[in-house]
Amino acid sequence: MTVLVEAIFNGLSNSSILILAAIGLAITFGVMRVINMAHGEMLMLGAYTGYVVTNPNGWPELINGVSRVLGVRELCAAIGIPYHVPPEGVALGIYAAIPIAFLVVGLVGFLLETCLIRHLYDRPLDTLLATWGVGLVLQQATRLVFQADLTPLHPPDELSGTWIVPLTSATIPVFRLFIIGFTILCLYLVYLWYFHTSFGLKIRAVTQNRSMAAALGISTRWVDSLTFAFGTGLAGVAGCIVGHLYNVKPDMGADYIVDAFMVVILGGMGHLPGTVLAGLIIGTGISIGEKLFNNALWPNVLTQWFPSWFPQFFPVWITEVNQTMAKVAMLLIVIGFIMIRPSGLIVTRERVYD
Amino acid sequence: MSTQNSKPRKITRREMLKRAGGSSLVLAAASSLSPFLFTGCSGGKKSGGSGGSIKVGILHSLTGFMAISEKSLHDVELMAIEEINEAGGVLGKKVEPIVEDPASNFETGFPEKARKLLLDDRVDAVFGCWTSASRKSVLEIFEENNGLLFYPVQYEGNECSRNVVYTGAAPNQQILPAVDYLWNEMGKRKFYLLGSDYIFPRTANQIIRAQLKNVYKAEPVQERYADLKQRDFKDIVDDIRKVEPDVIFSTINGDSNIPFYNELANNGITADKIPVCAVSVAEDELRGLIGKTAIKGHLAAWNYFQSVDLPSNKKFVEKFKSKYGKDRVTDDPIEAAYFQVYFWKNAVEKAQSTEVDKVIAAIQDPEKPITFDAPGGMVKIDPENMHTWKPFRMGRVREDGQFDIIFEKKDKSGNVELIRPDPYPRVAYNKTCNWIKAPKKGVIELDS
Repeated sequence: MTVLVEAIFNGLSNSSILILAAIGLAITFGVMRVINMAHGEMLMLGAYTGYVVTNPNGWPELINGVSRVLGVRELCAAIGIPYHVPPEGVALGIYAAIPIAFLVVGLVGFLLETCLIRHLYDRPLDTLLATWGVGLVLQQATRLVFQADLTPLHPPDELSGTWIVPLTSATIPVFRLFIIGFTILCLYLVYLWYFHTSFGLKIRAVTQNRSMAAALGISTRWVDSLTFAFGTGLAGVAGCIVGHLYNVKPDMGADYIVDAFMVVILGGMGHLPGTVLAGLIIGTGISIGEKLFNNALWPNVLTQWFPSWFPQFFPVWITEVNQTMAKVAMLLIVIGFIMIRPSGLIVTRERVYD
Repeated sequence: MSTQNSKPRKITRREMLKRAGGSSLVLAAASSLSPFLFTGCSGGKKSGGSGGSIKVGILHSLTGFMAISEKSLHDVELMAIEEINEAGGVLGKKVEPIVEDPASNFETGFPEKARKLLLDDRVDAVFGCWTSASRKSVLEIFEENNGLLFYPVQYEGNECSRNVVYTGAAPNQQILPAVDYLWNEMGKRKFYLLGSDYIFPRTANQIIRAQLKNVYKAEPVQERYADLKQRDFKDIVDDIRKVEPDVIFSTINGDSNIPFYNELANNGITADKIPVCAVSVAEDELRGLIGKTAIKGHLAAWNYFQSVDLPSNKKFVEKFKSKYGKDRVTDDPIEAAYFQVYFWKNAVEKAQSTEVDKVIAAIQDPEKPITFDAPGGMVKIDPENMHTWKPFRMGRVREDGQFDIIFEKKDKSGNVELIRPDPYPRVAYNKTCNWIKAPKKGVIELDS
């Protein structure tokens, strides 16, 4: 019972984190077809925005870091203007950090789109290289400003407790519950934005038939920029949230980008419900795999379900690294599925004219 | 872009002559000057007289994911070299550090830079490496080219090289006393072994298993490994809650520690219920994570802590902080990195030469081992296996990221005991490392 509750809850928790990290990519990659290799760095920027906003030292550290990198202190000394170390800022909570991360990272995405990606729309491979380069630049810039150290983000007191599930001994950290709830809220807002606003209608029009939409007076440029900004803004929010659970460091983006692409591709390009479904499948699959490869369960599974000569092919270390094994198994399943259905879980049926 | 044939360059005969004349002049000048230019370094090293400099290499990652740990070792080694130079150098000569950055790349970065230091720069000693992977990747290079590596980090043992001086703890100086302490002093019986999935935790846990079995007739309740870059520990914490161990013996390395300790706290496991005893978490890793971090109250086993109450340590910590910043801290590998530079200095002075064979002979002299009064107390190199005699201490994490020392291993007369290093603990191996008895290969097989 406890194991079942844990497996279900961990599955939901994993899924919510995966979906949160992938939902921005589902818009920029799934809908707009921009291969944004800097998506992980957008998460990273969101997490650092969270740090600057929620930590009293964050703001002075940012200012000092930037002026150290640019040599402002030396410049001030040369000109003769006194350089003031900025005072400690006000620490706003996580609830303020989330919208700020959305705006800050959305702005970065907007600039990225208008300055770079726009000029590469018909060259997808160049987009891949260019955004990868942007990602490296952002990583190193963050490393220069904030140093290589880990940056701690702590959830507020009301979110840092533990909830013990009644009738079982399974524990559920409150912050993980918060992430699940927040992901559902995010999905609902994206749904409203995409299907029930005039801007969402424009996006759908532009992605379905760009020239026709343009002919009807929709500014496709503006739609492109804002959609990309919205997608990266969501990545920033995701970074701000997961930064409270995992580590915040300049190269954290690499931990998320593969998962995010996997979720979007498995779900089917351009299909937001597909992304959600794929996130649920992968997240739950990994958590069930973890429980299954546990050395309390694994030997029973082997001896009960398989012929007696079978278990000797599975050495004991499989259960010692159960998360790794669960991920390997999940990856194999996803690869197999994509081989059978290359367009993903949910395929858009559309009429093709040409 | 092809501007190659847009404007062919024409070289006139006159120009040709001018150029040829000019370059031959430069060549002639260089060759006539060369005796003066080059004797300074190459001749000076061999003669052993005053003047000139002695080159040593520093091989720590300054970029990449290991930089967060290794940078401090690089810093403190430079500080030690500076101190030595201020006090007159070694054998009357200045020590010149040559810093190379292998960029956290174990497969190519470390071997490449080690070769450069040994073959191109011809350094007399190298201070370097952190991970076992990086040490293993340069080990053969040092043995083939007869170099001398000083390695400052605790490691899993099972190694015996004539060309390496190990100044971090061997397993019997950190892991085994920690198990003893947890069993005898704290009464812990159910051990949960948890590590990152690579060579050090696997070997360490093998040794702990052997120790529990042979000495205490017990078995660990669980042995579990996390991926080196794992970030989600919910399932492992679920497993811990199910198994209900008395203590978690953690060989988790690097960044993964933070989500691991957080996950423990988030699921209601505190240090007073199930303490974690770590052997890879030191002050430098806790820097910047003080305050609400969930690690408070957990244990760590080391040979040195910044909070060691000795006058020499106070001076050392103050000097390090004033040189590199108030927020910097010292810890076990930093201390080892510092005193190993002095080990090398003392060995060179005893040998009256920087030649590697003579320095090794001085280190392996059983009559008078190399000693140094380090910040954490007296240490010495074991002449037989070239590891370091060190004390054992157990610390408990405080609110400010420092440690309260709750235990120091004492000898019978009540002084801090220096533990003899053993890269092959008898509980797990039937061999020993002894360069005096076996000068050819070092390892001696024992009967079980």
